Amino acid sequence: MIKLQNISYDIGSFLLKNISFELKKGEIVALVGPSGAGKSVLLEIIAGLIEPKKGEVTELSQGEVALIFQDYMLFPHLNLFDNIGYGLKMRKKEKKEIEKAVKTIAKELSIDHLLARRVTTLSGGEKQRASLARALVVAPKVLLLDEPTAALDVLLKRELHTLIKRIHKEHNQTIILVTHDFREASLLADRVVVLDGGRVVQIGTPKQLKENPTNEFVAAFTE
Amino acid sequence: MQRKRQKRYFTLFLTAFSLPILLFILIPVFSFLFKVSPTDMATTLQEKEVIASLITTFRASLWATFAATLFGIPLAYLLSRKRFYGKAFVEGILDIPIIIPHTAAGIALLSTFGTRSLFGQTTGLTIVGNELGIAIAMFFVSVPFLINTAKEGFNLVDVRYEKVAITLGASPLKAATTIAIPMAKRSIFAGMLLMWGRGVSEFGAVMILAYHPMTAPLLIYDRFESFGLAYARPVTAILVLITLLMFVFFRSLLTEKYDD
Repeated sequence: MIKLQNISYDIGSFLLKNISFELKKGEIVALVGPSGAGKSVLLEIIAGLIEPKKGEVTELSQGEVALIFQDYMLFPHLNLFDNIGYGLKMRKKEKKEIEKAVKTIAKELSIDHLLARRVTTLSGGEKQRASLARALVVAPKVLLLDEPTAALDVLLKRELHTLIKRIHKEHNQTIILVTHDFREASLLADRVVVLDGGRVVQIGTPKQLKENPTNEFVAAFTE
Repeated sequence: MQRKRQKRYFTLFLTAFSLPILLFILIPVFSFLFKVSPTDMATTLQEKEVIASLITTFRASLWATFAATLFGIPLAYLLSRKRFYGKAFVEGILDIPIIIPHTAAGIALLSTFGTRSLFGQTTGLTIVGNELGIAIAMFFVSVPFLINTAKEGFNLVDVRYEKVAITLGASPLKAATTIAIPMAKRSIFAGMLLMWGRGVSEFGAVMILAYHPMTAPLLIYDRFESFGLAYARPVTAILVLITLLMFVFFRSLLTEKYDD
């Protein structure tokens, strides 16, 4: 179980205050809230990219998480194979092992025929699967998705939802998903953490939040 | 229709203001180039003194550029990626070589690294009258061009690429060397080219530190002072032409090879 204990962070006027919650293995948790609520900063703290001013994330170290941004952030100077294999190369795995793992995950995500291609030539859907493949190949304990569907059209959004569900089923992956869309959160997540102004406002299943919002903000957000 | 006409007028307006600047640069350069006969240039190119000065100039500027790349890239990266107290001050330091007169830069360098300076006396190294001195002078006056261009290059690389790399297991150093530097390589290379070109053209600081071995700009000045304009022209034309050709060649490499 991964625990976030009293995470606090401030920079300028931005603030995260005493964020605490737990993540069970294989659970999908959505962090929802309006812009500036602190969702993405919290995600970067979980990823180990930012040190919190106070508090800690237990049972999770750097290298055990994989982060996916909405615009995929595929390395444009590397081909698809080298993009997917990047994490394994950084872990100093042998060439043969990297090749085998990259091919396996690429096949699973139906992009194995594109491995030699430059990533700048891939379509939106292919890029999406490529970024998932690059994250999954290192078998992370937690997969962090930062607004993965924010910039997508309806079709790609639906495709990604199906893909996330499939990956979750096949890899039993713990997933933290940042979104500002409650509908998306209720579609994918087991539990939802509502953030506002850097604080946790409510935690619960999508159903609990909808039926018993603790305040007007949650009620309006889950409308 | 009216919008189309407005657009055309605007382009015309922009061109009308741009053209004088371009002509101001091009006319003096090409008018003197045309005044030099190819035979004169060929004869001058056979002079050992000219060849030696060109080699010294290009080589010293190359050494300066390589040294600046080694130390300047980490600094450019630091300035692009980190927020720290006194950052504006550090950026101000990098403006010093651009804003002070280069003869003053030469005097300052001579006082710091000269034979009678603390540096000279403790290391026993002399920078006066040798290629090391030339390279040091070139380094001082042209290093901001490399650092500023590389910094702009790093600014264009979204920091989230490195964040992804770090979560995938890269150390910050690895993320910089395998992601940020390759992605900013075009700017880094452009910065190196600018620095090298600026070094080649340096006169003031080099003159103070090392009048000999003579670099091409000093040779031009020396010939002009001793024998007049006509005698200085061929070597000037040769320096301008070679530098220009190298710039055009490397610039075309930059735009073609690295184009996405």
